[in-house]
Amino acid sequence: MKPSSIVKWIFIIFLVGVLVGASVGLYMFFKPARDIASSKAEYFLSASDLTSEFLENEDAANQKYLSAAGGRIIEVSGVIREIVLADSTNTFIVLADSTMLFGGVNCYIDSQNVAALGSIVVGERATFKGECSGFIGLTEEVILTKCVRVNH
Amino acid sequence: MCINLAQRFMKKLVIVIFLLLCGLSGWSQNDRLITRSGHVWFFSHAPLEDIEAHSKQVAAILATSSGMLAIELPIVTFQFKKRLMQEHFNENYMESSKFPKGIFRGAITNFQLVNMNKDGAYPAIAEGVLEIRGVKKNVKVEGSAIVKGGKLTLKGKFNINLKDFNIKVEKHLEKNIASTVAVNVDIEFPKK
Repeated sequence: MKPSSIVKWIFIIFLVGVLVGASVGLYMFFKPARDIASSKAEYFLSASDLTSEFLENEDAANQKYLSAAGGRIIEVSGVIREIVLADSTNTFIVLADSTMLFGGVNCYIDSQNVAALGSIVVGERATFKGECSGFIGLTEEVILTKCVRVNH
Repeated sequence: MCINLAQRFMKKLVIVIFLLLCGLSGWSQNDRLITRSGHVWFFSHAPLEDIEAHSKQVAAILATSSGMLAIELPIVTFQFKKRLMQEHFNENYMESSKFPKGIFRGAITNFQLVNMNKDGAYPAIAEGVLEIRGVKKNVKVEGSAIVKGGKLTLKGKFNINLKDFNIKVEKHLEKNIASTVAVNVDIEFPKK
């Protein structure tokens, strides 16, 4: 191989390296928001089981359902106890079970996903998938954000 | 664990019976306002970058008879424009899985001046303990209590010095992240 072609190849490899590095860097920088609907849930459980886990040992439950960079995606089933339209941009649904006196799982719905809920009524069974965000001691409710309804 | 559960159940049963009695006898109006959709946002202004993040999942309980106020905010609900920034915030600065909540416990000390039956903006002073990243600090915030059509909204603004809560910013990011961050609170309680 002629020395000039070695230089040429080194240059090409270098250029490819820079391009790959730059695109990975740019992708990381502009990383799109997580799409819950197309993501797979890591845990599947009932509203009462999830609430009990936080009530019994909040620290352990936080370690389990929150990752270092944010919340883990989980799927929760229960009976709709409450539908709250706090304002046009803030809607949430409280999932519980008939055996629960207090507490529940608050499933917050982003405004652009509210229309997709269709008709929902208090008392019906429902499953929601969302990002776990921890536990509110004041109300004994688990927080799930960016929720979408799952139909099985 | 069973005993624990039984105790908790008993505690709740007592509360439920108490609330029922209150409701039946009518001698004590339930004076608690509660919301789970309060709005808190913060703003960091630095030479190279402005950063803003919002949470609309803030829970608060206010006792209108005494002004006692409790607020809880799950830290990972803060939404940033850039996802990478949000992940760094949770992982490097707030350690959210270890310290998942911001908590305020205290009172609106001059709440007796707020007339819930008369529309208006009343000055409100919140005093209490703010806990972030496991660090507790006494705070006093001068804000306002706005009454409109029987609905109450608490608004306030205060600064947080990151160092006070052991939030460390790396040297090379000092031009991107302010050492003092402005926090805004806007909590609307639904009408009773």
